[in-house]
Amino acid sequence: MGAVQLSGLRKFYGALEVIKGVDLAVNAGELVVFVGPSGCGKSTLLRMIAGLEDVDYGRIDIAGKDVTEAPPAQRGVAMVFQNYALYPHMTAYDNLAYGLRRAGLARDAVDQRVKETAALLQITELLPRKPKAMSGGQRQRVAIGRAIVRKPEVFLFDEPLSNLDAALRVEMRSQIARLHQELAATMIFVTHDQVEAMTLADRIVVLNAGRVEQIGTPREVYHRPANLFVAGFIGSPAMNLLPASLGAGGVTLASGPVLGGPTGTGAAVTLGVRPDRLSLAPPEAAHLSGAAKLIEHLGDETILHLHLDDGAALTLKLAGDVAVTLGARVHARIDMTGACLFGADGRALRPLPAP
Amino acid sequence: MPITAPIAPQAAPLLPRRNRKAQRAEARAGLFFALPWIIGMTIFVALPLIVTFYIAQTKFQIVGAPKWVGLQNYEALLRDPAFWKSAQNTLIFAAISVPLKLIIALGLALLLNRATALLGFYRTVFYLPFLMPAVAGSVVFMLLLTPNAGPVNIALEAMGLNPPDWLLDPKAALWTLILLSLWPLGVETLVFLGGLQNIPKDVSEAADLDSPKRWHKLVWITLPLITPMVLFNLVIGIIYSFQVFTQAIVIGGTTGTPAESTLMYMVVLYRAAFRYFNMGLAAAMATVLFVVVLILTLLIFKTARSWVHYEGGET
Repeated sequence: MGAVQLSGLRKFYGALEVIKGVDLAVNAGELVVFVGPSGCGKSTLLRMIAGLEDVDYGRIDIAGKDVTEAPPAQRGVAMVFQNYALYPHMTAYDNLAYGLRRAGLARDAVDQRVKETAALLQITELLPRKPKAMSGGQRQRVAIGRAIVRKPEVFLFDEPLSNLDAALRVEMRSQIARLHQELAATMIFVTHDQVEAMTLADRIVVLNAGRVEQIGTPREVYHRPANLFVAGFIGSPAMNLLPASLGAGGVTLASGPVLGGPTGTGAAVTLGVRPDRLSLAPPEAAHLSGAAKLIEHLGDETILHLHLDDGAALTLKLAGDVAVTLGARVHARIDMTGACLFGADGRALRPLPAP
Repeated sequence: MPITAPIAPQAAPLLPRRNRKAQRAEARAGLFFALPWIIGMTIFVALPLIVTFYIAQTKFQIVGAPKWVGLQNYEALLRDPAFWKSAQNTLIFAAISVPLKLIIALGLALLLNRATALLGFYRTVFYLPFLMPAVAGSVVFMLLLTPNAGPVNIALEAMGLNPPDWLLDPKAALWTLILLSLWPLGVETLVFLGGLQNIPKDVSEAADLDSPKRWHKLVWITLPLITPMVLFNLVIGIIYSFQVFTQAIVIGGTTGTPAESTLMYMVVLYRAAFRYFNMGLAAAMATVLFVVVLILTLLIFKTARSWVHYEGGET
């Protein structure tokens, strides 16, 4: 399994720069997830690695070889597409065998590899069927099989689960995680679904507008976002970002309350607090107050959206089924454990201790 | 519970009856919508076909009533050397021009499929010849191919070649006609182009990832996925090539000059009908052509099951 090295990658569509200088090293055997909002360039970046998009500037190395100008089939990559992209006129068996046959593998060797792969993915009974006669989940398993059978240096997944229904998505997600462990394969996975990103990734690459915002393990990205964008993007419901300043008594909210923590001389900061670090409190102990404008009862937890007195929004994630009526006045207290601080430039200040 | 039980069996048959009624109404509406087409088909296709079969067994010279002669016209056909010569010419013409046309049209479509910026322009350019009357086109080609003063031969001679007399050499004239038939291939090209553009982009990209060789993708992915268009072009091409007429009569007249080398089946049929006013014989020729083309088409459709893939563009 090979490592992937991206150096100074840039890509233009006409005058529009869609990839603005990406440097990234994916280690051999690592599963890296590209995540970001629509149009952030994550799919384009993946397609550049696959060789399906030209590189305007920069260099791509796969398994120690410069493949920047190499055709897709000679990069040692295999790709799983969002719409499966199976050859519709071929059976699942032929879909898996096609690449091996074209590479000149002997008939017996092809047969053995196809059957091994089919057994690994539990798709043996699908082999004689054409894609038309399969469900979405079955097609995607065959598409993954077509990638695995070629024993590539790197697997590329372009939002492979987004066309599947919720239950199937969870199942396929765990299957991909299992494959990653069994094959010890290098995988790059593109998704806009942060749950997929958090659960699958060894490391997450957060992209925004063609730039890398942060690279880190799921826990790093979640607990220590490098900037306001990552803080707002990772985590659902999103982190609360509150205007504050660093005073003599510590972090001071713009609305008045002093929360403690790092002190300063009044520099403006943004305080980031995860919704689960907020709790209901009696008025005298509360830091923030507002009216409940939306209540989501999820059974084991309650998501409470507040309209604060100063007009800002605040989201609380409370354990259990909390009885709050719409429009009721709610008082919340901030637990500073795991809170984040961002400077005026939007970048994280020295992170507070993680929980 | 005991109250609702007896109601159910009564309510049950109501729904199917309403369904049957709705179905009948829908069928009636469908028939009305298709009626103009059905009437047109009956008047302009089915009736003439039946009348042709009938006239083929009569002696009929346009004026006067047809006189029943049974199979005499068919017997006369079999004894007519022009029938055999024109059938032979037409078969050679079809056998060479149809595959050639498909290959060239496919090549053009593959090229067009790669051009993105000027696609609309090229599409129009390739379709234009189809809009030009075949007679005018043929005359232009006759001028181009004139032995001494024609630009084609002047160019070939300038290159030190010894060009044939395209129109009057019996060995060359049929080939000239075949070349001429290749000229308006806009429709075939557009049909192929439509097929190529219908291949999902990611399927094409998956093929790029599976093999670096272009011809691998062409043979194993692209061609199988456009086989419905190949079938369409093949069947239409065969039907048209067996009926080649305009170019043949412009170049060879009604005698297939030179030396009957461009004498096509439809020309002989036309000659029988409108020069000799032997409508019975012409109708017999039309019937034979109809049966031959029908059998060929059915054979192609029968084999199509094994080589035409209708799954393209579905995933």
